[in-house]
Amino acid sequence: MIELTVLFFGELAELAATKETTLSNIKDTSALNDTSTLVDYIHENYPRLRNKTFNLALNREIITEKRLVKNGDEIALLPPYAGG
Amino acid sequence: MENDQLKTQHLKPNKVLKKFLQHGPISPQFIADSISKHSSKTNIGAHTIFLGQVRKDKIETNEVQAIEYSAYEEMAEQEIHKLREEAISKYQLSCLHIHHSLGNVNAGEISLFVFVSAPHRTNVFTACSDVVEQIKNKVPIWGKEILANGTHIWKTNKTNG
Repeated sequence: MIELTVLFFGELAELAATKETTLSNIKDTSALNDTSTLVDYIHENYPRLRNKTFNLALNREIITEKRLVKNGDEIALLPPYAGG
Repeated sequence: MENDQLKTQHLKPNKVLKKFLQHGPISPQFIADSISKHSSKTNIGAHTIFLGQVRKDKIETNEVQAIEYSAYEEMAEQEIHKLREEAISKYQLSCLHIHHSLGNVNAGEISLFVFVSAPHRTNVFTACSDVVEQIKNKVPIWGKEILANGTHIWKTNKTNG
């Protein structure tokens, strides 16, 4: 079983009505073991995020390709930055 | 407790060498003090300073009163640390200070302070501009523009800032 932390930021946190959720009781062999299926899961469970653009950070590093996730990973959904 | 340890066990430790994010606006006094502290660093011959100020933009009939900044703080500190180290080495800087606000900053107040110093003027202009662009492009910070009627919209960065 693995446990993942998903973080929402900016407008995405507002639309998801949460800043953080923990996904637990995921079987290592389940479909939800990579970042691509995780995004599908998020779209399904947070439909207001479906038409929104965001990058993914896995353990605080931006990822551009599908990656396997493991127990304890922190996945952040990052809408376009607006610092400065 | 055990769970918290488990969650973060393979994340990089939060070894933040400098804290770049601060709550509230950056005061003119803070900027003045920062300049003053450099008088003892007599190898420096040139400084450039960039100050980002919250604009009272008009959106339809509403004016922006303030921006409420939020960040993925651990990653933002990490990214600023990285881009700072790169800029110091690339432009051979003597000093590089970066401060960005979190939370509420009213229109007319300062939310970004970049202070670049080197022995000579050649590199400081380019370095300052480069660092500001990188902060806008690489650092996970967001801004909620609070409008006069109490509603808000999410700020988006334009190329001309």
